[in-house]
Amino acid sequence: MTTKEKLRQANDYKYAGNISFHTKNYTQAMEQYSKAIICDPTNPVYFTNRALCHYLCKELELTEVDCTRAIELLRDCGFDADTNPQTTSEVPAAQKPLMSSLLKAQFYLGMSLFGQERWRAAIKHLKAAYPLCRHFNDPKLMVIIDSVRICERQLSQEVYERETHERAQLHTLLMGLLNKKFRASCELKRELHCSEEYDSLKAKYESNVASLTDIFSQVNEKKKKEHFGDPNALEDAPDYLIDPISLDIFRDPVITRTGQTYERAWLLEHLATSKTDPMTRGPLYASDLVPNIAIRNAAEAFLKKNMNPAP
Amino acid sequence: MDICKRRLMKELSTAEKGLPSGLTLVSANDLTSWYIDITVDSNSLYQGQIYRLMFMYSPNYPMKVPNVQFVPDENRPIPIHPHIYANGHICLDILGDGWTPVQNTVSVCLSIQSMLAGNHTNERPPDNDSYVRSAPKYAQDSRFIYHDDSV
Repeated sequence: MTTKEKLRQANDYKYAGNISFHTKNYTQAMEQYSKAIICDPTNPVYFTNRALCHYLCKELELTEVDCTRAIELLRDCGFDADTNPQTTSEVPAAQKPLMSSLLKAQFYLGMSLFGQERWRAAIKHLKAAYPLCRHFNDPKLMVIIDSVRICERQLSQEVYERETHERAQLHTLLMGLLNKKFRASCELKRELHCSEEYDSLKAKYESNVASLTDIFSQVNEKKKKEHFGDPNALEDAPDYLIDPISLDIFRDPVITRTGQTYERAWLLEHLATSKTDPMTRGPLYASDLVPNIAIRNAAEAFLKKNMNPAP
Repeated sequence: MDICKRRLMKELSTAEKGLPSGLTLVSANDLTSWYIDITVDSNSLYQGQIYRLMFMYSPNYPMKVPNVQFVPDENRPIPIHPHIYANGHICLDILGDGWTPVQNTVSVCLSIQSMLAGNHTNERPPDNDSYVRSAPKYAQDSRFIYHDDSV
């Protein structure tokens, strides 16, 4: 078989796979994509398609393998994982399928890592998928925002739990030392026959224990705020940092031609059913939207100050 | 979708801090259905009477309009209004095609309040009897025609 014939056959297998995929027969689709990969192991699209089947069958490790391979192949084609979002709009039309493939590879890799609770790696790949989703106005944007937030929270939680445990150990150690010192002093006083000082020694000891406990509980409270943010602080966020659709603080705000600002993902969700500006009810298209960088920076600064999402 | 729950939680925490005058939060069961008592300022047909509104939110809220209607109770009648049917269904554009996701529970209440306050016609809609006979359970499933904005 010539190379050309092989490529054609691979493509035929892919189409057969797509048909099975659309009838939700993922195992069958997977087999077809595997045959396509045997004929042409250099096409990243076959890998991302098979990855999606694996993902939908909850085979997270296999999803990871296929996505990683697709990303490698795409890198060989000049599509780096770090493709700058600002330059993606200049990508020639012929390369769009490869970009779309990169989006899927990064996204499903991120999601499979998320499913495996590998939070840090998941954040990296989901964040790499974000600018690509933005370029295609892909509704996966919302999943990314939510998942990244969960990952960051989990990471923060892990660090918090580890540190809390260490502090608890230190607390126990110090309590032991205080107690040891108290008992030694009592012993000494008894030997010197001044047992009437026992009460004052005991009072001193108890006040030390109370102070120490108080200090540790203050530190715990402070650390909790650092890791999980002050829930009240977010409610105090100024209105101009709040998306009018989700009532949540802005992450990726966009501005319309009439000057309204919305969270990109939620506005796109609304535009999917109604091409109108929710505030003015005038016509509005996804192509009209531009990032509102000033508000994004302000929201980031606010979050950094009050939330500290990732350690 | 997550956004629905998060948004309703935000709306609820704001509502619990205090609602505009004439509105009282009665209950907000598992976030997805709320009951709000509503009164209208003096100098209107509805002076001194309390009415009860029911809000039901679908998982697509706020992209999709919530179902909002008056529900009768012992001392909570259905207000008489040319845009309110005897079964509690309300013909109001923002509760249909006029809904946009920047509206919220309180803004809907305020619209209904001003719709009542501005009315001087002590009548049911002209097609009340025929509508009520064949109306679906939820007002949301009706296709109203918003022909008259002057009332």
